[in-house]
Amino acid sequence: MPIVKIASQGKPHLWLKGFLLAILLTLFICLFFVFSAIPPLEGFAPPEYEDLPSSTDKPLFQTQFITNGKARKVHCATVVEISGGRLLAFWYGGSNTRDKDTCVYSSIFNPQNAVWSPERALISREDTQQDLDRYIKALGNPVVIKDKDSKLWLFYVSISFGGWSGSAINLTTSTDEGQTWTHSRRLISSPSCNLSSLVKGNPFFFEDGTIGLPVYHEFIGKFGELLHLDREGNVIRKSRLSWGRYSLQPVIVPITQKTGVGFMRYSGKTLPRLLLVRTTDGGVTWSHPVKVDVPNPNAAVASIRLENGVILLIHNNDEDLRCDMTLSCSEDNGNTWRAIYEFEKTEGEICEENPAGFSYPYIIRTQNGDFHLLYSWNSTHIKHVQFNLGWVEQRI
Amino acid sequence: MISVTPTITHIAGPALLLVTIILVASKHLRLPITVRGVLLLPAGCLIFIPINDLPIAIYIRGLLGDLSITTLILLFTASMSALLDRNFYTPRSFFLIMLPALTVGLFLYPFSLGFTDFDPYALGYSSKTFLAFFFAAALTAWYFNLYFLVIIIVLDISAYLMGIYESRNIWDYLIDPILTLFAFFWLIIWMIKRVVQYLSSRRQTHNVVEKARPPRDRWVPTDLTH
Repeated sequence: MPIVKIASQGKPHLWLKGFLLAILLTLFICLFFVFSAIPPLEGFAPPEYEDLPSSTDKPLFQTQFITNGKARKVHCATVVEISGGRLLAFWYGGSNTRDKDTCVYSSIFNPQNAVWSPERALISREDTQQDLDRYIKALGNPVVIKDKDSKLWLFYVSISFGGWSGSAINLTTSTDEGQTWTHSRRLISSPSCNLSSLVKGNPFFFEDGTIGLPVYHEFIGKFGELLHLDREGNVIRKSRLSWGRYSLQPVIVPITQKTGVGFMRYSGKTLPRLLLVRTTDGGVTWSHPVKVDVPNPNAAVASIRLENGVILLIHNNDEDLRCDMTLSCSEDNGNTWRAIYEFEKTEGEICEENPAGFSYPYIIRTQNGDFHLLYSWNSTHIKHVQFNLGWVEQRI
Repeated sequence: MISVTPTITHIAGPALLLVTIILVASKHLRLPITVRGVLLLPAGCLIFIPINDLPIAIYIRGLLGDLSITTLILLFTASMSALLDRNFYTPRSFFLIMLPALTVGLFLYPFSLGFTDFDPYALGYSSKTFLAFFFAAALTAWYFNLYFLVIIIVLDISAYLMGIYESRNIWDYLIDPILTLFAFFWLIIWMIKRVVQYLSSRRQTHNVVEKARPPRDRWVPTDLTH
């Protein structure tokens, strides 16, 4: 090996040295251009609910369960609006969470007759294994978003080894409203063998059409991050929402182009309260998490902002148990909160017999102005709650 | 039946890892070079052995992900070294690869686990400051004629620019936890060897001095002899 001999003798040939320098310079110049080509964060996309109509002038509130005849346990629903005002929901289910028979299921809601279609097993762990060339033990949380070209982006978690700390995020897309999907691919967001990256909160868009994906890690540390994905779905930037061992499942609520708030599940023992972070530079940097006066029994929350600036929060209003599903509102961008409705409430033995309770809420607002809330109901069903602004305003 | 047909780029890491382990082990067992050469093919085929209908490579990739280009280069040279029975780098040049590997790993991984607000991994997407430091490090290696290090950097950047992995973060091409762990243990063993070497050389020097000096009971001051 002549190069090594030269190196070991400490007598480099000048031509070789010059040649290596030329290659190095060329590569670093290319690297500089590649780094420069990554677009700067231009802030959150403005909210598109300025002129939203209402499906009805009267307050609307209706609930139902999404069909579930295949999986014993179901969890973590996500939903997106497709053509004709229909909803396309996804969740994962199996004999148990983290079992080998877990699949990502989907179902379509027809607003004409207010009926959910029978569920379809959309992605199995074998499918994911085939696509990724990696061993997959089980599937987990999905989240979905639709871009301006009506392309659906479905992010979902898979576990290769161990528990949730051995998980990673995968991406598949559809351009025909969920009829067919591309092969899944892996999002790399951690250097530690890409261990422990999960999704839960709603993805959103930045000003330039790129995607913001709130994620969290729970391998040794438990903390939230915001991934910035380009239009091809590559992770091109990320910012840390928190650090340490006690914050999970961030939900981001953009307020203006540059400002936004994030809420996180608190997994610590002392004073279990909801965590809040803020950004004033469009998601580049985030404030240190602070606790707000909303109990959090180590459980996920969902949030959405109204056109009048009020922020709605769906959460468990208890320090220990997930025996309720409560709607709270804040008129000061998340500093103070007021509970305005209980979607669910069980007490005593019934609550203790069902520790899974009501959890993992996910909320969206459709083009007709209605809100659609999905959450896990005792881990056996996904419940769908539909309400409109009139119903909310009655309670605010 | 094997239900997954892995692509070449996906199995390169697991295949090289297994081949290197087997060849290096056979070298340490002092098997003849021809036997090591014969072992190469079955070692390479090991990754296709199915466990529960899945090739071993799929499990390794599921656990470790894609190994960094630096690790692949080191695995390749280690297996070639075992196969051809010759060293491709001196202990000094290997030390100068292991030391930065450990230093960078200790900088990168603890922070990536969320111990602080600072996330060095995020720098690997598009940070110009990181690029400047990286360029300075590469130039330093070049200036001091650490060509092996320079070649590794050249290949890492080339692979990144070609986008051969799913990641668009250059850290994933430069380093991985396996390399850091290996560097950690290699440097510990290296230090122990150096300490033992130093102590034994001191003892030898001491013995030589002791032998050269006349025994005290037989020593007689010269001025008294006259």
